[in-house]
Amino acid sequence: MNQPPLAQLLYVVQVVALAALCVRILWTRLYRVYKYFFVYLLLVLLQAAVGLFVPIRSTLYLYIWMASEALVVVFYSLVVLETYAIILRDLPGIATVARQYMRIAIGCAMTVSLLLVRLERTPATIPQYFLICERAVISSLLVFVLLSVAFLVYYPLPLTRNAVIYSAGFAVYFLAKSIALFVANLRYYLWHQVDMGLLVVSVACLLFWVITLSNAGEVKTVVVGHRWDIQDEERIVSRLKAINESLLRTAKK
Amino acid sequence: MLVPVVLVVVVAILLLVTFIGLFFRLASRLDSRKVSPAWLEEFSLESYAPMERLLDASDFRFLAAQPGYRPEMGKRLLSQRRKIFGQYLGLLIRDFNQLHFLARLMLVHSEQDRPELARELFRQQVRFYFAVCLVRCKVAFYPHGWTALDVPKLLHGLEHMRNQIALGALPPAVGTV
Repeated sequence: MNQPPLAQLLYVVQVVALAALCVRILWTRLYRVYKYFFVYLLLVLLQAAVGLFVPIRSTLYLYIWMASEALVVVFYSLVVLETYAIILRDLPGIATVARQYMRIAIGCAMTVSLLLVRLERTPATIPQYFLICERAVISSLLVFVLLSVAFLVYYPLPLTRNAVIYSAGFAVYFLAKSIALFVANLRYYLWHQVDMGLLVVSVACLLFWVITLSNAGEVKTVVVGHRWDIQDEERIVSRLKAINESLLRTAKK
Repeated sequence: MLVPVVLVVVVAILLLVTFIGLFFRLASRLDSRKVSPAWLEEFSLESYAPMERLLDASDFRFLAAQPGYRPEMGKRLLSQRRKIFGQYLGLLIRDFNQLHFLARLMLVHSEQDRPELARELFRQQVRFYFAVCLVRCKVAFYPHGWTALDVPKLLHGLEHMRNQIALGALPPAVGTV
């Protein structure tokens, strides 16, 4: 590695944190629930491990990084879709609404992301093209996650603690990565400083997941404090009818 | 080139604040115990009947017609009535939000797909909040001559919400109207 000592230290910490998270996911058997997330972690671990043996500023590393990063970006999308598929499964009452909302969210996310391309510099090399494409995808995912969290806030869905932690970690990471890539696409010479900042955020997110993801976090927090039964429904309906009659009397005055 | 960077920083801060707000809301959602069937039993729209009379111009005309009337008396009465009206409005908004939450809860836990109910709930919410904004503007302009206060419109929004809950409470086979 040909990097400053602090960057090298952070890189090693990142690899260790990734390995620790993989072990935690395996140990808690959460890989059975979050399959794409686990594969993504393995991929990123492999990508980071390559950096320990191949000089970071070499052309070989650049091409290995671009190829692996393209795969990583695909897995970002799969991980986000996996999260919301897990959250929204077994909720037939809002199946159509959720599907329609997600389609609109994806459309909005892509539009916002593509609008930013106009602000970025015209790329001249393949790595610069790659960074712009990557920034566009990551920004889309960021906006999609934001809109999806808004949906989760609006509807009182039963959520697991892990799902909330998961979403929070990815929201922070995507935000940092989008900013880093956007700044780098405006000023390519800032890439190494930006990469350093991103490394810090990445390590923080990984440590956050290592500490907080657990088996106990898979228990759904049930929003309903009790079960609604047919007697409750009949009471609700009779009360509603009484209220309607009262309002009609007031309206006639 | 400085402008895009500044724009990115501003947008990033806004996004971060939005995320923090949303996650905070996610972690501290409305207590479902407050919207149990027992709460619905106690809920009554009659509690809001006084709102329709609070800013009735006839009361002020009556006061103005009394011997010894001074304009300060009218202003004081108007100020008190507006304050009380604002408190009623706050309670109405709270009850609407609780009813709406109840309806969304029923929708989430429904065993059948109900997209039409979801759309109607959203429409009712938008209409209600629009009506609240309108009422707040009208109350603000009330001292300057506007007298018609559309409280029934607000109560109508609450009525719609109850109807949706009633429709949502019964299985479709029963066929409520």
